[in-house]
Amino acid sequence: MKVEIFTPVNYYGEAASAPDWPLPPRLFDQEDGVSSIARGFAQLEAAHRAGFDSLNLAEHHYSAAQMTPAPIIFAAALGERLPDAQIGVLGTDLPLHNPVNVAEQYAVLDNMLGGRLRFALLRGTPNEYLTYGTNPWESRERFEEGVELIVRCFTEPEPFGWEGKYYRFRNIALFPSAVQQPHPRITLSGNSVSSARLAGRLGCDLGISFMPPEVASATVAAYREAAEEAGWQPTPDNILFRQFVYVAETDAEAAADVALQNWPQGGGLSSSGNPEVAAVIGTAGAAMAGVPRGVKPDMSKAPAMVPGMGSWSGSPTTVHSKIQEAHDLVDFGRVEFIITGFVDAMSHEKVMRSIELMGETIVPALHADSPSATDSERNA
Amino acid sequence: MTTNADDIDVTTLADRFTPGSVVVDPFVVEYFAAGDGDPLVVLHGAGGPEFSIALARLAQRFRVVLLQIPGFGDQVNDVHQSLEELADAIAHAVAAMGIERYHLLGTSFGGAVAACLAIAHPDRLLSLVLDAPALFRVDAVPPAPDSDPSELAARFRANPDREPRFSQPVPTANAQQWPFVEKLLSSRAEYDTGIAEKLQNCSVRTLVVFGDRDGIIPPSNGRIYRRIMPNCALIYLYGAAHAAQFDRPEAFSDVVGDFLERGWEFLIPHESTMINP
Repeated sequence: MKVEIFTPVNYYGEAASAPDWPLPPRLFDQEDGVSSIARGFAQLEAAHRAGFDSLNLAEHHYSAAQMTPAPIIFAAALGERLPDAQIGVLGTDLPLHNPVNVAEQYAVLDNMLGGRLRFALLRGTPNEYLTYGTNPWESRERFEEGVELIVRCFTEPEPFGWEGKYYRFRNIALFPSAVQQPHPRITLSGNSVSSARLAGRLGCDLGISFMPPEVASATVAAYREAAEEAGWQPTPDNILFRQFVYVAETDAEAAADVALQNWPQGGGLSSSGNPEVAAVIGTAGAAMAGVPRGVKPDMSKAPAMVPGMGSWSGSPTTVHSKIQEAHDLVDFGRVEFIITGFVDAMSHEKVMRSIELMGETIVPALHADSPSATDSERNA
Repeated sequence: MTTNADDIDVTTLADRFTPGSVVVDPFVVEYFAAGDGDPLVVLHGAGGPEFSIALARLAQRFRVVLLQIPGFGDQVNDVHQSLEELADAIAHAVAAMGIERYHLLGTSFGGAVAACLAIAHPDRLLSLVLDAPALFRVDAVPPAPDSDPSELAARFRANPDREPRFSQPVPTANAQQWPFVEKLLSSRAEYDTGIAEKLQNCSVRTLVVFGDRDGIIPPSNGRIYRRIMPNCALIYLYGAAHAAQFDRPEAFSDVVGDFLERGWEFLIPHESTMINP
């Protein structure tokens, strides 16, 4: 099994514990900002030394939880620092952006990284629909068309136009194109049956975030089924399982560390301290889930994806067995750790120690567990 | 919602509004009303009531009631010695019209009054819009009777060719109104800590709008409201000066109308972006 790390690049500073979204820019301290970026690099470099198979970033906005609203910039710099690391941007909040420009940026990045890039196309979290003015009720349709347009950008050898439902570009030509042909591996969300089917249909990887494994097994089944209908067979390496993970020397020590700063939730929020704004974020979330405008959502049907729920912490042995239990239910070939938590949830020093300990224990153990298919096997 | 402002004849703006009055002793408060829907009470700036394309557009969605603040028009106001007293009188006037709960829009001087009304009577407001409000006036350059006319026009209007054009202050009206405005405003510090503390506890849903080229009250004053009020949004209108309603009436009425109609949901567009099915 491959082991990947997703580092949100937390902001380490006083504002990290401010319970609000969006976080006012006046709370940003320049020295803390620079040192937080340095810590993000340090965590990823430590993970590389520890044997993690991919160093991953993601796009989120207006929050101290993640200092990567433009993760491609961070990924490019990381690639310069670590010339032999695989780098993932998992991923881009696609409905917020111009898909052609997204394809262009990833094509350039893949060239800069010499083909070491993977990326994910995601719909973003509900609060992010309150950033660039994106209609959340059209999120799924816009997203699906955007994904297909991006794949088309990478695969079309001649200049072409796109007359879509939501996107109209009369003249597209991806130059530079990607190093990896036809394009870097693309991950789509596996957090619902419909999104998992899309990933299967389009030949993409599947990314499962924070879902209870017993629930995820249903979306993986849908993924495999759609892939089969499309004429291909996913391997475990096509399936990524993302979870908050913290390892200390002993269970007791891990429990104490987790309790100290309420890991993985920490002190920050991805919602607003203003209840009226928080309600709109809820509306955006319901809209993303397909609840029509003006209809009160049935929360019992909300997806079982709660960040922090079911997180894995403990000694290396304990965490290893939890991963194996999940793996028995969901045949994933790649597991991705978020060690920092959301924000202000774990000190940088403890995160670094946990990464180092993982490199000594759990990473080699997982590598030895069930060897996953290589890229060449998958492509074959 | 976007309608073509060209539908609105600027020469007949006043004709769209029906005059009325209500007695709040010792004043006869005049008002001008147009449209249907939730009531939107409008408090004008130091220049007195003005009919704008923006208000005409808002009257397509709301019942706009433009009040003439006591002390403007033909009436001298020696009664009210503070913004709070004036705000209280206006709250009584609106109640006397039979309007129990309403949106409130205050421009410049009227914005300062509106903020005081929100502090004193939050339960009466559906929401509050402060258009270049004069409550906080850090580094403001207030207009004066001897201001150079062309320089004054530039501070009010970034888009001077847009009809209706900027009207220079009328000296006779100034002689009566400006001392009244000055009495109520200049008695307060440019940053009044007492009122700032009260606004911290004012949870009325509030939108603050500033033209990004406001030459009277620096738009940076808008940040104060956003920072201290618990339920406040701040919007800069690009390419607009102090009289933002006149510089960019379509943009003004769109964002204000959206906020009044949808509250914080105005952060997410609900119009379809589909090009073709």
